[in-house]
Amino acid sequence: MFKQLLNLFGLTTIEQANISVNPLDRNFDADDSSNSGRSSAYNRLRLVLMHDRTQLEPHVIEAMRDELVTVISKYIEIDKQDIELNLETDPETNQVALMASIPVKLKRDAVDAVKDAVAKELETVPVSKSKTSLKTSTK
Amino acid sequence: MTVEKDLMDSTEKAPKKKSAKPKGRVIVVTSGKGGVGKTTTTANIGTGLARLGFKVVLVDTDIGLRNLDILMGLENRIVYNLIDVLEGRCRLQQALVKDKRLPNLTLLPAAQTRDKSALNEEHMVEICKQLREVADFVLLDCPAGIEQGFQTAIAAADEAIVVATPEMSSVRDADRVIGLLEAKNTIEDYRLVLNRVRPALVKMNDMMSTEDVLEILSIRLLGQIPEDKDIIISTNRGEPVVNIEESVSGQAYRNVAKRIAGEDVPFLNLDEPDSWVDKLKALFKGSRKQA
Ligand SMILES: Nc1ncnc2c1ncn2[C@@H]1O[C@H](COP(=O)(O)OP(=O)(O)OP(=O)(O)O)[C@@H](O)[C@H]1O
Ligand SMILES: [Mg+2]
Repeated sequence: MFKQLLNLFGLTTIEQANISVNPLDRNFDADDSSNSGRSSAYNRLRLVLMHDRTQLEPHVIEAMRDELVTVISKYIEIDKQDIELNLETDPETNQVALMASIPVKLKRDAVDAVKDAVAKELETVPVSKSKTSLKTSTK
Repeated sequence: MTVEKDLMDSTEKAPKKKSAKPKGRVIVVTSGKGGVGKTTTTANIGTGLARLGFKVVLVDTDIGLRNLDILMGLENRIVYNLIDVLEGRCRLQQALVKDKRLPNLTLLPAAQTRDKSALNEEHMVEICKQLREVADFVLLDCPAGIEQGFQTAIAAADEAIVVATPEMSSVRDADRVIGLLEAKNTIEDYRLVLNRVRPALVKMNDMMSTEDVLEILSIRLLGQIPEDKDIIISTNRGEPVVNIEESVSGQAYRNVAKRIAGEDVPFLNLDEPDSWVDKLKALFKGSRKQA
């Protein structure tokens, strides 16, 4: 009787309760997801853990940047100040990738030669007039 | 007859050791971050398993900061402790404190006046080796942190329970701990107990949900325990909440115990029902929400 009363009001008792915990159930409300405490905690945490798990300390990234500069400078003139090296996740595949953005300095008449050289080295990466992105993916 | 004899001869000559009865499982309860509910979880899961009829020993490995005795309400019955056993002042049996109600539940208390260096990994392995001969479950309450005290506590465990709350710092520390547990090939299995879940906040998108945390940690769920004042009240009484029949967190811990014992128990719905005002509003809108 008591249970029926509860049901009438749409309340659940412990015995009846069973929700499946399906990781795919995680649905932020579309409109307020971007700035809710929940989603910002979720997104910040993902980023923090990405760094924790790769165990890339800032000084290691720094060292890697320096080496990249040395290697790439052997082939093309690059903008050493503006190099960006970041860990990012592909939202679709969840694959963590190390993304390098390396601006290339181009002289007008050298554009084609560099285009060819870079295309040859990297095969798939498109070359814009003033800035080239080298995308390198790690496990 | 001869065939049988031949077969015997062709296999092993040494008399087969009489296979001992299956040994108890050693489970460490750990978290990285302090104060997230390791001791509460150890006391309640241990008591929950004992209620199901298993022989259980709870071991407080938090040397110098013992608390498990208080949560169990056994602080006045302690004569000897874990370190007394190691240093030969008593036998293991003498240091085990019997629970107030359940005869199949005992506590091996930590020493309060010593520090973590009094206990090392070999000690832990040796103690657990002896305990698992007499108990179905040996639960180890781990100190906070990931230093020596943690390493000592996980050294003897077959399984781990990772306790976290749905907060960034706790989940981050849990991730560290999971990495360390995975690196330890003596640990066969680990699962998460998410403690202090507040469904109302999750609903308002103010707090990460259980699913969020599971996804981030890629870990399997052993149970979710709500934030519950019953836990504070029962702690003050020295009575694990799992013994309080009408308590939701008690129910959640009873379910966890059953899952550890191998039962397939559905997860509790911790959602608080909508208030009657919400329901009225929904009615007037003509779009009654699903209960
Ligand atoms: N679900 C809960 N609801 C309300 N209070 C809780 C809950 N879980 C734990 N607490 C409270 O949080 C406090 C810390 O819990 P507990 O001692 O179990 O944590 P711990 O991880 O063992 O801490 P330490 O790292 O210091 O050993 C206690 O006061 C306890 O009563
Ligand atoms: Mg504790």
